[in-house]
Amino acid sequence: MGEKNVSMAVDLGGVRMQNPVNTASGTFAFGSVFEDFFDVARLGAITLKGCSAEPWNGNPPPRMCEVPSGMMNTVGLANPGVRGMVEQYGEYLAGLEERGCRVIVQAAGHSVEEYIAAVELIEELCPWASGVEMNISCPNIARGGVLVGGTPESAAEVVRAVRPRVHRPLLVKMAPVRVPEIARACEAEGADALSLINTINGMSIDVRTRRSRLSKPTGGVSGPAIHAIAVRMVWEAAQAVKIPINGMGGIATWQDAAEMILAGATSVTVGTANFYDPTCAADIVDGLASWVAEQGVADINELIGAFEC
Amino acid sequence: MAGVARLCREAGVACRVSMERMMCCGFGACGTCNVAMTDGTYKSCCKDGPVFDAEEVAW
Repeated sequence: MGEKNVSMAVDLGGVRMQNPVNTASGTFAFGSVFEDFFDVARLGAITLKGCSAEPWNGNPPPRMCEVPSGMMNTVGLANPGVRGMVEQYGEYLAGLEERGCRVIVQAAGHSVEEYIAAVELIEELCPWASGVEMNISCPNIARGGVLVGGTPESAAEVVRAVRPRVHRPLLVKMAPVRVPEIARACEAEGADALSLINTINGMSIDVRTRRSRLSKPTGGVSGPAIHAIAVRMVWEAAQAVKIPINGMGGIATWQDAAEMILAGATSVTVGTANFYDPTCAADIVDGLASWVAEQGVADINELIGAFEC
Repeated sequence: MAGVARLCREAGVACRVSMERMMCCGFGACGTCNVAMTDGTYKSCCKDGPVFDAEEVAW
């Protein structure tokens, strides 16, 4: 992969990727719709839309609005359930793995029991998956909607419950709160890698109607608007733990991705930009390879965390 | 539009509606352009619509 004989392969906690470029859950569906734009097998990995044990309808419309340099969403983890996903996309995804692109299945839940049910189904029905990412940025319904992964204690509780049931690399998708402490808690419970950041909670109000521009009062802000915050949090996480970091937050160009790598990310994940520039993840693969050559190193791993103050 | 759909229903006239939603992508990747259906599910405005039978939309 890449040009001028540079090595682009990275190991994200046991997920061996041909290059560091991944796509963010919820921005890439189940991969297949992007085949109309480019050869998805060129990517290092894709992360699927979060799936729960049972299908979820998600939130009512409107689910998105634009904000300066980004967007806000309240999709509410609408998904066909693990079984529905496998029925519709299992064959395509198994084929994508054979073509060289790693597939990471994301598990969603509102409680420890729901996470366990989701990962057990994934273990049973997704033998082709290279990794499981657990999204702990969901609201815990049983505890009044507080974030499942909002404290080191609650993050540790859910990782501890799921870890023995996942027999392949386990990634934890963190909320952008208390990053160093929660990163250490997840590492201590046996996470193989950390994915961050998820969206940052925001609000947008229509001043004429005085209503939220979404169907809920708040939503998750994503896109270039949050990139600088994400780079800082990835850097903090990389200082706090030894396990690899899957960095994301507002990556739209190879330069944004390179920044994340320098801050300490082993892999770089493209999210919101997939919506308005559907080939950008493939363009970032090419841009990063040129950057590695230009930096005068033979292997992209030499640039992970190579930031100098 | 909901009013026209109701009038058509009362008059027994077939009615189709072209819906609009804020969309991130327009090709079925984001799941944000959902339209509520009478059976309790959602459909994507971009891929399943934008034209729906007025009878299947939950007004």
